[in-house]
Amino acid sequence: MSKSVLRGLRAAALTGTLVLGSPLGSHLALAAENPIKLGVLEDQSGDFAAATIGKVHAIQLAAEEINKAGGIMGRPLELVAYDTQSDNTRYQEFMRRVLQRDKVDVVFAGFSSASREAYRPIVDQFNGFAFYNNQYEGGVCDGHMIVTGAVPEQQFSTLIPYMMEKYGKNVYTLAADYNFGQISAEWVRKIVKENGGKMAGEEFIPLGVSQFSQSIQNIQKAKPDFVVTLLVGTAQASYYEQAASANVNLPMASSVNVGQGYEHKRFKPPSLKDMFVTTNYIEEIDSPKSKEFYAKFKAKFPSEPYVNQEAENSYLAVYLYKQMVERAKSTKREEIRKVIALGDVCMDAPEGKVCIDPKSQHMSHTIYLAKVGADHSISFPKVWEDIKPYWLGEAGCDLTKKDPMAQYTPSNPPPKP
Amino acid sequence: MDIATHVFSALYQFGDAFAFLVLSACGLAVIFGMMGVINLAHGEFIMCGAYVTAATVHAGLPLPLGILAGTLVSALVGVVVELAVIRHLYDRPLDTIVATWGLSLIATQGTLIMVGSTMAGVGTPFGSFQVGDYSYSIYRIVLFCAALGVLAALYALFNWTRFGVLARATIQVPHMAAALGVDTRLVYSLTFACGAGLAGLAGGLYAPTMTLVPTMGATFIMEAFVTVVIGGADVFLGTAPAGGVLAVVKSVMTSWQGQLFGQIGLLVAVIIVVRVLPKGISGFVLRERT
Amino acid sequence: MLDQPRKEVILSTLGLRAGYGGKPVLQGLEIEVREGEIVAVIGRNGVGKSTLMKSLIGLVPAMSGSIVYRGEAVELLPAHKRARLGMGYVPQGRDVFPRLTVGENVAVGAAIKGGGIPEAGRRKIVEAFPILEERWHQRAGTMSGGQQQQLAIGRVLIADPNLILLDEPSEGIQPNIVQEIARNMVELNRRTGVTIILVEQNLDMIRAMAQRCYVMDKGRIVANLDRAALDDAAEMRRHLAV
Repeated sequence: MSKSVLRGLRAAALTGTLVLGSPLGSHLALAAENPIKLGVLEDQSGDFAAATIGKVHAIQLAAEEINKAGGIMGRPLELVAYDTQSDNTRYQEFMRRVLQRDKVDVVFAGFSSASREAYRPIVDQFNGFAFYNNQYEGGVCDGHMIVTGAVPEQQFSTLIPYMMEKYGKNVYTLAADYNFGQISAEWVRKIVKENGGKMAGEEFIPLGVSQFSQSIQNIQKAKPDFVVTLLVGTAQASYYEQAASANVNLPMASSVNVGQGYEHKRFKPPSLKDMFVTTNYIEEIDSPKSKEFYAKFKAKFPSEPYVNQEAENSYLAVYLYKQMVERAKSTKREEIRKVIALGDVCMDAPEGKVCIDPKSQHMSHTIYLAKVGADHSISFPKVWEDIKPYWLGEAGCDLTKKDPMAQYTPSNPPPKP
Repeated sequence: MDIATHVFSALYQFGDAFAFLVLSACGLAVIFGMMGVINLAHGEFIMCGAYVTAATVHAGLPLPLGILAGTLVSALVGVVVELAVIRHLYDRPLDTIVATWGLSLIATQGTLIMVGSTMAGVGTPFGSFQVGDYSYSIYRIVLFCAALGVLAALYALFNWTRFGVLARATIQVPHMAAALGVDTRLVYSLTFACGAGLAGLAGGLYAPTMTLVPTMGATFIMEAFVTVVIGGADVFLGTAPAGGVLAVVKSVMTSWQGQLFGQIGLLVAVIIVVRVLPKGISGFVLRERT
Repeated sequence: MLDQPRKEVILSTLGLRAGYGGKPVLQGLEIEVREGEIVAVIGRNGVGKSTLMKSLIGLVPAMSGSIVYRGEAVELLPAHKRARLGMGYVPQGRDVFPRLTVGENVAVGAAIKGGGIPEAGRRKIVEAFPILEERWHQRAGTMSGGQQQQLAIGRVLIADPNLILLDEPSEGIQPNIVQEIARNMVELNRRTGVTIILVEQNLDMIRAMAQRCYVMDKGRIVANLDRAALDDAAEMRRHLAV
C-alpha cells in the first residue's frame, strides 16, 4: 500500500469522526477554510501503472499550483488519493469509500474502460460527480460524468482516412478484447466502410497475452495495407517488438500507443517505426504552452519517464473544475452543470484551446497526428484544431435535457425520441 | 502458396508455443515435482531474470552473458528465499502457497517502487527470414532450441549426475535419503535454486521480446501452471509431453480463431486432462509403469 | 565369548526418551553394544523397537538422554551426519527408492564416500547378493520384497559402515531368502567385524544371527538374554508373545 493510500486512510478516519462528532450548526463556521476535496482513483501499481502514475502527478501539480494561487473560491484543494492497482474491484471499493466516507466533492478516476464501467454505476447510485480524464471508445452519456479525454470520432475520423489515403484501403485491426477494444474496433470498421475501404481482418487479444507469433502470421496472411493496433496494457505492448523482429514492416495506426504508454521511449528502435497515432497531447508537442507545461511537470517530478496525453487531460481537468466551481459559486453538481449548459466552459490547455460540449459533457480537442520514425523520434505530419466530440450529440444524447446514464455505441445508439 | 510453406508455418507456430510453454513451466515443474512446493512467486523469478538480463545488457554485456547473469541472480535469490521462507514450511504445503504469493506481491510492488513502472527493452537480435509469403523472427527459433536445450540439460542433470540421483532419491523417500547420509536440506536448497534459476533463464530469454514491467511475470503464469497441471510432477514424463500437446492445441486454435480461442483451448485441455488423468500425464505414465 | 578380550563399546544410550509429538515412546531406554557384536532386540508389537532404531539413526528426535556412538554424543546430530559417522540403517519395509534403478539406489548409499560406486565395493555386494547384479538396471520398485531387502542391505554395505541397524529384515520375505540374508550378515560380521543391531520377530533368524538379545517392553529394556537363553524355546516364546 502506498503512502498516499495511508494518508487517504488517515484522512478517511478523520473525516469519519468529524462527521459523526459535529452537529450541523458548526458546519458553517468551518466553511471558510473547509477544503474542497478531490478524490483521485488512479492505478499506481499493476499492469496499467506505467501509463497512469503520471495522471496522479499531473493532478498533484495542478492542485499545488491552484493552492499556491489562493485555492478555489478561497478554499484549498485537498486530494484524497487511493491506489486502485489496475483492479476493477478496487475501483468499486474505493469509489464507495471516497463518496460515502471521505465525502469528496468530485472524483477523478479511471484508466481502462473496464474500470470506468465498474465504478460509474456507483457514482450514479450515490449521486456523485466524476471526471474520466482518459481517451476511450466514446459513448458515455451520463450527467454524473465529465470526460476530458479524446473519443473515436476525434481520433479515428482523423487518423483512419489519413492512413487509407496514404497507404491503402485494406485495414487489419488488432485490438484488446474488452469493451474499449471491441467498441474502438467497431468505430474503425464503420469509418473504413464509410471511406470505401475493406477490413482485411480483425483479431481480439485477451488482456495479459504477451506472445504474438500466430497473430503476426495471421496479419501477414491477410496482407493489409496497414494495421490498426488497439492493444492495451504492458503485456500486449510486446506485440511491437515481436512484429518488428519478424519483419512485418507494415505501417501501424493507433489511438492508444505513444500517447498513453510512450512505447517509443520504452522499446528499442525501430520496433515502432511507422506508427501513426492521433493524440491530443504528448510531451514532444512543440508549442510554447506545451513546453511551459512540460517544464513545470519535470521541475516537480524530475524522474517522470514521460508526460503523456492522460497526464495533460488530468491537469487541465483540475483547472476546468476550478473554473466551473468559481462560476457556479458552488461545488454542487447541478449548479456546475448549469454553467456547462451555457456552452462556454473553455480554457487554454497545454495542447491548445479546449471546450466542454454541453450535450455530451465531453471535450473538444486539438488532435495531433504523431508519426514515429525509425529512430523513434516523433514528427507531427498533421494537426487538426478544435475537433469536437460530435457523435453523441448527433446520435441523440443531450444531457441538458435528459440524463440516461448509459453508454452507447454506433451499433447501439441512443433511442430516438 | 505451396504446401511446404504451410507445413513450415505450422511447425514454426508449434515450436514457438512449445518453447513458451516449456520455458515458462520448467522452473515451476522442478520445484513442484521435486519438492511438492507450489511456488506462486514463479512469475517474479521470471521477472527478476528478465530485469537482470536487461540491466546487464544496458550496462554493456552481450545478450548471452546477460541471460546467464539473469539466470544466476534468480538462482541466488532462490537460495535466499529457500533459506528464509520455504525451508520453514516444508510440512505445511498450504502455507507455502500463501507465503510465495505474498513474496510475489512484495517483489512486484518492490520492483515498481525501486526500479519504476517500466524498464527500457534490449531489442530482439538476429533479424528475420522469409519462407513463402511469411517472414519470421530468427530469435523465436533460438527460443525453441533453448527449450529443447533446457529439457536435455535437465535430463542430463537429474539422470547422469550424482546430484541428480541424490535429488531424485530425496524426493522419493526423504527420510531414507537422510538416513543414508544425504543432506536433504542442501538438496532442497539446490533444487529450489535450480527452479528459480530456470525461471530466471525463461525471463532472460524472453526479455528481448517483451515489455519489461514489474507485472510481466503474470503473463507467464497461466501457461506455466497449465503445463504443470497437465504434465504432473515429473519434468520429463510430464512437462515435455504436456508442452507438446498444449502447443498443438494452442497453435491450432489460435491460427483457426485467434488468441482468445488459443487461451480457451488451453483451459479446456486442462479441464479434460484433470478429469481423465488426475495426476497428469506423468502420473499416468508412472502408474502404467509400476 | 568370555575368554575373548572385551571390545570397545561402539554404541550406548543413557536415559533415552524419544518419540513423536508429546508422548515419548522410548522411556529412558539404556543399551550398550560392543564392537563386532550382533545384538537382537525383541519384544511384542508396539513396545517401541522400530522407534528405537529410528531414534538411533536420527529420524526420531531424542527428547532427553544421550546416544554415544564411538565415544561421541550424537543425539543432536541430524540423520545424514550420523550416517556419515558410519551408521547404516536398513528400515522396516525396506524403503528402497522405487523409481531409481538398483544401481542408482546403491549409488545413493555410496555417495557418503564422496564419489561413484567403488568397483571393489560393488563386487562385494553383488557377491553377497547376486540378484542385485542381475537387476542392476531395473527400477527398484519393480522387484520382489526379498530382492528389495537385499538391495536395502547392499545399499548400506557399499559405504562400509561400522554399525548396521537392521529393522525386521525377515518381514514378508520367503524363508529361503531369510536364511540367505542371515547367512550373509553373519559371514560379513565374521569377516569385517561390523556390529549389527537387529530388530526381529522371526525366531529362526534371531537364532541364526544374534549373540545376545535385549527384550523391550513399554519403551524400556526389561531383560538382556545371553546366547543360551536364545536357544530356550519356552523363554523366547514368552518374550515374543503378542
